[in-house]
Amino acid sequence: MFFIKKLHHTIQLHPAFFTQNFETYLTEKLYKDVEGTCTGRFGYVIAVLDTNETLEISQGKVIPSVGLAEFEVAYRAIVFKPFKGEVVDGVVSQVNKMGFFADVGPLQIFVSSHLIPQDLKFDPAKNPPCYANNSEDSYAVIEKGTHVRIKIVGTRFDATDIFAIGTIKDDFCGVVTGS
Amino acid sequence: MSHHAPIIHRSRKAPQEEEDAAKLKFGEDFEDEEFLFISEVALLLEKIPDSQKNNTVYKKTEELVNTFTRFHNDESVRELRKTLMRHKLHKYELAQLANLVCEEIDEAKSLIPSLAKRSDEEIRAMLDDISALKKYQS
Repeated sequence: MFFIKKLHHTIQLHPAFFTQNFETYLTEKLYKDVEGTCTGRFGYVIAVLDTNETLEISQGKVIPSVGLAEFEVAYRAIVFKPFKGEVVDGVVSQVNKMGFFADVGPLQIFVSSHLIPQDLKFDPAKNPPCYANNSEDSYAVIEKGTHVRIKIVGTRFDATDIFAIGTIKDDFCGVVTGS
Repeated sequence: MSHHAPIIHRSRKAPQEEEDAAKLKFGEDFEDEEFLFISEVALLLEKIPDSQKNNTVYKKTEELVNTFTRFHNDESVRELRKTLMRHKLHKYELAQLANLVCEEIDEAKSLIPSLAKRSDEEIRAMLDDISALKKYQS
């Protein structure tokens, strides 16, 4: 799920930047530090919504004996965090006999072959390799690039990354047709 | 000689309630935040300056939201949120309905299990509202 989340970040500023427009520098530093990062707690930080003018920057504090100033910056960002039980649409990125991987934005979800319906069989001879069934009336194939609807059954968070496994065995999950 | 597996004592902090979208549990970090539609994210990202787009997380997200966005302009997205608000849904249910664009009542109930407590007529009304707006935007 995507959220708008208020987050905080601490930035240390070198005295060389103690100028009139140090805010610009802080803003750029903030973008560089947090955008594109991932934490287990808040998920992926996709983009900071605040600009130079709307950021809340605390009063700077000079750190004794170092000379650097420390600023606490509060900002709003678009974040993405997957939850167990959530249903998401993704694009298949890799297929092998163990199952397949799908990209849901920055997140990779693994769907094991045990969580793919029985009638979809792995076919290593095809290029690219795929899962396909043989019935003619409801032909379905999962290969690189296929759009799939996945239910997330488990997530694992560590400090800087998120892992998720999903299933397409549930009703109304699987290959997305049309649109 | 018998081997004993070492006993590991793990000190656990106060047991946290497990996050589970099916039970509408999102943890204290997120339950009060704004839940965004994929279509809203797509529109927000359009306004982000190019200088902030140089990372893989951003690019992959942009690809995803552009692939799966269902409502393409500010107006229809705002209208959709306003319309769905009338059904007194949880923020998550509301966002998922807008993201997944279900056609059948059973589909909605299966993909968003917490909707099961609502009557079929209510769910039908929600799905009709969404498909009407989807047709209307062109």
